Amino acid sequence: MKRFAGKWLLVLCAVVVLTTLPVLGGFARGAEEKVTLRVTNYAQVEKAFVAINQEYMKLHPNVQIVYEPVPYDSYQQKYGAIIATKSGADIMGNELNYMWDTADAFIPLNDRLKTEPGVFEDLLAYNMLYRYMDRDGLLLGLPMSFNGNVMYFNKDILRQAGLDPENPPQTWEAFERAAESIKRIGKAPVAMAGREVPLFWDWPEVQKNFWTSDQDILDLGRGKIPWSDPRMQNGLKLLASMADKGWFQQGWPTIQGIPDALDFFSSGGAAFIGSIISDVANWKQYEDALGQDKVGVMLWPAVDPNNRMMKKFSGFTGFPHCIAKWTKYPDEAWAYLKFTASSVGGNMFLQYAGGQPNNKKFDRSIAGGSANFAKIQEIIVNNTVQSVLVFSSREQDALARGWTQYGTGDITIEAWTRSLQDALDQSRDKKL
Amino acid sequence: MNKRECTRSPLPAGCTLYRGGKTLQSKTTGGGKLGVSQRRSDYLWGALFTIPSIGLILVFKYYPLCLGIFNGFRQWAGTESHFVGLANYARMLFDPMVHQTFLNALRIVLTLPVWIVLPMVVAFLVYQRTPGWQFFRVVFFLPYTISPVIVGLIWRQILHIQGPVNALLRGLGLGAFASSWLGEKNLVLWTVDAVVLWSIFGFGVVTYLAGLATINEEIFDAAAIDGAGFWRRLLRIVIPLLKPVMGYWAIICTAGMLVWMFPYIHSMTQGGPGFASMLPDYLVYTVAFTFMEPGYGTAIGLLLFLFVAIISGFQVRYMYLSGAQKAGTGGKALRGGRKK
Repeated sequence: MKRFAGKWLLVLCAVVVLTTLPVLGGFARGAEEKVTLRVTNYAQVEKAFVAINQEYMKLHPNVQIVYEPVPYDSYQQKYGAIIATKSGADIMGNELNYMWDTADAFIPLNDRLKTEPGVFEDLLAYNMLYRYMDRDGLLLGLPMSFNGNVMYFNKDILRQAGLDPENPPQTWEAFERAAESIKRIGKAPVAMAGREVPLFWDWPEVQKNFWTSDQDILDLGRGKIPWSDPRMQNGLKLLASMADKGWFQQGWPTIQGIPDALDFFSSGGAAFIGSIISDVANWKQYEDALGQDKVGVMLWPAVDPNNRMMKKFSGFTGFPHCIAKWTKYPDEAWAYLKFTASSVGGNMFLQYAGGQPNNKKFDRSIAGGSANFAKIQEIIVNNTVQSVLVFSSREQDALARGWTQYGTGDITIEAWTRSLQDALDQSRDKKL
Repeated sequence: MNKRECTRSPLPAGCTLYRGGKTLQSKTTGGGKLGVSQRRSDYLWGALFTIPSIGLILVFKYYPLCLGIFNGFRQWAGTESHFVGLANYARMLFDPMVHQTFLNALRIVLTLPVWIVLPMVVAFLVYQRTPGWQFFRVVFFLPYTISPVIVGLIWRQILHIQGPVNALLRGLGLGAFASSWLGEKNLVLWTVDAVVLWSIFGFGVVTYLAGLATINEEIFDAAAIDGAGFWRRLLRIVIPLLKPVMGYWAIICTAGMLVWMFPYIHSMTQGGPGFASMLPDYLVYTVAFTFMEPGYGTAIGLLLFLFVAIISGFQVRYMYLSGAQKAGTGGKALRGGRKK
């Protein structure tokens, strides 16, 4: 019995030592502990963020940045898990719509801006960050880039099709003619994918043909425009007509946007691609793939050339980084946010990822002599809000799934409209 | 005193057991001083090894389950939640997404016989030392060692409309059969099902091989002498004797079909086109984390739990019944044999 008790005493001692050691170790480390900020955003710009974080840690030796990039095509699900468990990241780089879907997870920044009004002074665009673009609305993030939709084209393919690459089609009618010429040389007029991107870069530009003012887009964001509205119906029909006319490559409904559709364009398979200027896809990627002088950039062609909305760039504040409510270091996180939105952060973003800095004081020479980058600087001056960014995640999902189904011939515009309206009705934020 | 009774604890009277180099002998009266001490020691050591497992099961299985039941009655507004009663469950009744995904799950379950029989046939071929059996044993098992996400990504490329499968079909003059395997709504679910079967098929073969190893080879030899061919031996010997293994494999497959297909769907179709390849587990993930409705997602998850529990419950019951029947028959045969 004594021997038996001895065994148990030994086990008990081992348990006590094993549980106490880490705690004692923790106290010992406490004296020299750094502030650890866990930052997460999309893996597609990992290189830029590794450099930005290193620079930040050099400037702030008391801060340790732990960077955890997530794939762009599943970031919402990853973020959802982080938010549900209220752990895993202090700072999260978001898209606007998902930021609003998960608004309660982030610390409002309105008060900080009241005490530091100069933070926005150098930023190209920031009003989109306020809820419903209203300066009195909630503000949750600080953007480091200014992103938005354009159309890139392959000059070689246009030349082969007998078109002038220096004067790409500006009207829908001219684009239709160009598309037929491109089809004749065995190329796809437009690179497309069945899910999310590049649909989210294409639909807003098609839909923009039926907007008459910026207010229309704000109304869409507030859920005031039903999908049965003639403007929405015309937008869907025009988009669908592109598929009906065979402008996309074979098998487009079942491929991914990133990387498949982008690769298809980058490898010379299609003449045009609806894309964006910064962040996960940009001018530099296409130039690197096809050659700087082989790529051109333009706004989407207009059904009505006199529609002033079609002369506007559909923009959105890119990479708004938000501070999670559960962080222990809100002040340090705010300092990091300001750094990413500064000219230093912007320069590094441009240098390492070809991104468009939101800070106006960035160094343009970093882009080299790119004519496309210079053209983009002209395009973005006159801007409006990109329409998909005002959708809820549920609406985005319905738009993308419907697009795939339309591509495979499984639904009609009417059925797609019903699912979109259902998604709108179920979107929590739109009912507020 | 037979051997089985002597393995019981406490040690029955008249038993001798060798453990750790020591000889433990029960007193004829049973439960003497040494017996009580030993019994307590056995219980405590048993508890020491089982309590951590029970703790882990409670923390990682039952606590989340209880939390899930609780959360199924709540609705989230961002990170805050409030009680909504049965609203989430009522919503499911009218949600076409939920209907479609559970219908898809039922369709997938219909392929269960293929999942059960195919690995068994192949396992029997390997067991019979069919030419090349060693090579095929490895080849069949290899896919099981590949991560499901990688399997999904590989097959997504292979099955693309311009991918190698269709190229091969066209090359063989079978272009009419070339299809959008992952884009056709009537085809996609079966395609995903086939890929998952390909992936876990090797595990099934190994499971059946383990079962076949327990069958006395003389039975097969006797059947061969009597002129029984491959299929007759499979139907008359293998299937009746491997019923418990088939039951076990059926449960593994059912669970696999209903809750383990997530990584394949995520990497191949993300539930599309539309909701044609969406299964309930993927819907739970989409609703909870993409639409940020954890309460509704949890309620769907609980419905899935019930769905799997009911289907598996029937299978488990059948397995136990057939096991009990077999034991009973075996016992009678044994007793009969003794009488003779």
